[in-house]
Amino acid sequence: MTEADDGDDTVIDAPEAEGKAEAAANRGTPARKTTPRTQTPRTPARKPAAPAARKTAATATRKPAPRKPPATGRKKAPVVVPEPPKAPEGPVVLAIRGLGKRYGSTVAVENLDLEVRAGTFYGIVGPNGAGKTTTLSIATGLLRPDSGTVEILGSDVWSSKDSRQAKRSLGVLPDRLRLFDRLTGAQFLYYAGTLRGLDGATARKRSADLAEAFGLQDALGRLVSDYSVGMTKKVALAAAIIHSPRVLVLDEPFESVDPVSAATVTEILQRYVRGGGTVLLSSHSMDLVERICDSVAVIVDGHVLAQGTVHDVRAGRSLQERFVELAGGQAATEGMEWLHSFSD
Amino acid sequence: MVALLLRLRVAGTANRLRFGLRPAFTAVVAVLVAVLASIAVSTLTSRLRDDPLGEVQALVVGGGALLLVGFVVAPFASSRPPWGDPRRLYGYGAPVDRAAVGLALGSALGVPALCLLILGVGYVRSFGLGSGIAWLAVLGAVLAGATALLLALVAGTVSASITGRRARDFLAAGGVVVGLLIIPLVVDLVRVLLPGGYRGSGVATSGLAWTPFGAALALPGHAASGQTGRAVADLLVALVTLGLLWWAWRTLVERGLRRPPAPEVAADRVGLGWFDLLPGTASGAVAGRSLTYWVRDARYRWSLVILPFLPLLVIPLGIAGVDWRMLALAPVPLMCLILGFLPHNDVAYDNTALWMHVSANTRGLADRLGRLAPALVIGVPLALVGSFAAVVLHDDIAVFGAEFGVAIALLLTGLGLASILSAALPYAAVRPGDDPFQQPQSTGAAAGWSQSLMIGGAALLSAPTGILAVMAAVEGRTDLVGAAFWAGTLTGVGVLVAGVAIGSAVYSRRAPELLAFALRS
Repeated sequence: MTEADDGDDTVIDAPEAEGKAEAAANRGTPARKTTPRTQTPRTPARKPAAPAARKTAATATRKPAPRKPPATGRKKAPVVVPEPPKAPEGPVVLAIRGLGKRYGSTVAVENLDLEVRAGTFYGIVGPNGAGKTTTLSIATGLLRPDSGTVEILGSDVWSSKDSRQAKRSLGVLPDRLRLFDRLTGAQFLYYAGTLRGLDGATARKRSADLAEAFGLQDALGRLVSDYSVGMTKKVALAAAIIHSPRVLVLDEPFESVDPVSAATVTEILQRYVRGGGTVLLSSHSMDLVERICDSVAVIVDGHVLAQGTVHDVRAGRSLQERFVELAGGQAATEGMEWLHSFSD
Repeated sequence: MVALLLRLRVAGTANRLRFGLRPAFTAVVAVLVAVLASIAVSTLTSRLRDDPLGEVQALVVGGGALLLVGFVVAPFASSRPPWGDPRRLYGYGAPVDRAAVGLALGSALGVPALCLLILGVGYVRSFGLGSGIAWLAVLGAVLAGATALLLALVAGTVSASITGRRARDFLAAGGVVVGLLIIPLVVDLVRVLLPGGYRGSGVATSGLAWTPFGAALALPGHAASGQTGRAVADLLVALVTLGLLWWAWRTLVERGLRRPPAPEVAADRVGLGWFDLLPGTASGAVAGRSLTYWVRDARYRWSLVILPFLPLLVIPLGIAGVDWRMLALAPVPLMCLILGFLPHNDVAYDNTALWMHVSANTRGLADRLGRLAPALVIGVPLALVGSFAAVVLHDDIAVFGAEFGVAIALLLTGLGLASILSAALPYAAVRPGDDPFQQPQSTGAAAGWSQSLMIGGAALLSAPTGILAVMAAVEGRTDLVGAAFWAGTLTGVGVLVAGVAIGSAVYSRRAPELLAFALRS
């Protein structure tokens, strides 16, 4: 508990430096080059933190390393099979155990276990109605489970005692829930910030930084209800990270976001993960999950059918193929012969 | 220089009519409305000429001073710099004095000056006391008109040079306070116009004559009633006012011409509306959001629109023969009851957007207090000012305490109950963005329960205060006024505090269930 406490405080304190560094990184200079620079002030800032946080920093600095060897290795010696990326070893920041939820007679989620370690980019994939949104809603404290526990950094989201602590470390982007859309973009971000306990000046400053990062500057004065779907998603995502949480839980963050914005958002999230943050997201896009996530869980009918690093789960095939196999999608494409005998 | 600026002004005005039918139409309609209103007021004023001098003096000085105050306050409500903003001439090397004259004359060309001219005629005609006084009245009118235009000029330039939006908001709030202060004056004026004639003491008028706003206007009246000393004093005050205003204007022009315009520091800063005025805490944020929604969201707005029409409900009773003096006391408590009732389903109005409060783990207290902010911001002044107006119409100011006690009791007990019920017993509401008159799919029994508990509870809790107040105001037991006041205030505050406390606990425990409810409905 105390470890989590200390760790959290550094997050709350650090952002001034982080915000500036991020703003600098976003101001036109190629992101690659500035990335090491943005990391240097971060790591010392985390140093005095609790052991848990130090481990996070360790994984963070080590993290990019395993990505490079395959790239260079392939060119030099194509014979050598690229070494699979190791499973992340950071502390468990989000643990779901024995989760169950039913709506009337329909079972949405049954006895579901999931562990997400610090510094991972974790993807949840599954067919429609598999229970992804239910799982993420329960994990973020929005939907009360019938059974099971959810722990964020050791604090139970659903215990009345710990929930404050747990929710403070969480940034949430739910899917298909309304926003307070009669506010302007600027008001909305400020609202999200101050609700999360930021003071007014910090909330303003971060709103401006986030608007710049997400390309929303020109839209800040407009009502959120007048935004396009993709812009609404972006402003909601900006609101989710305004209090610099340790763990981000994003339900379908890339749905209806244009490719350029999606690339920006991915870049922001990857930088966040490299800095020691953890992202848990759900998506329908196998390609995207394969590209940006380290680890993945496949959920079908409220059960986890496979979880682990992307490399392990796809087992030599593309994630798409593996997913269709796990989800049992082939059977459904048989039948319907009438579709092939055209009516005219 | 002066001629050039005047030509510019005329050309600018003409351009409003030249480009597009819509702006031209708007401009013509605005001018017509202003001119016709001025003619109407002017005609009414000139009819006063047969009335006693004291009455004429009270009306024209009071009303005129009010108008002059309006010339100071109004420019602060505009966010655009006025035409005469001297900073626009920066860099042209214009001589200060000629620029000041030109800009002042140019700014004077406009609808306000036209209206002042029309009103001035009515003012002069209201003194039917011979040509000597008439000439003094013309002098007074000219002085007052020049003061009004200079006041607007200086106020507009000062307002435009205050770049900080926050400062401007505070000035707007200051304007509201000034507005509240002149309410007694308005009441006095209305009483003059009411059948039965003038009953005011004239103290307000006499006091106003010493201020820059009333001095010039009081000049002919004082001269006509033989108070030569006061008349000379009026002239002095008016001239000194004009001199000071001109000096201030010249200083502003000089500054505007010499100093480069300040860089627009706040150019890209988007205002946050209500959030700017409230503390950056969770309760402040919820209050800011609620206030914004009450203004911006049609569902809340429609609830508010009915409030001003509630007093009309007593008219049938009055026609039926109930004593008007008693009926005057009814509307304000009724409005307070409705206002306390409005937030009772507030959580359901959020629909699923409530997830933000749940995931931020907003404390129950912050959520409850923030949601009450709009009702309190409207309700408490309404109870105060409304009760005062009611007892004035009732013609017995002594029962103010009783009237206020009932109003505040109904408002605060309503809000206390609403704090509990909006968390404990929400029912399906019109969804955000839907037509406010559309009925939700299913409301179930919760709607009936919640509404009856609200109205019944507030009425029951305020009943003791009500009984005391009726005894005080209707049966003439004036010794009970204090008791009614304290009973109302204490019940109201007590129920509000208890309601917020219980509501906070219920909300904190049930927040996810409230969200689940919103998802279902």
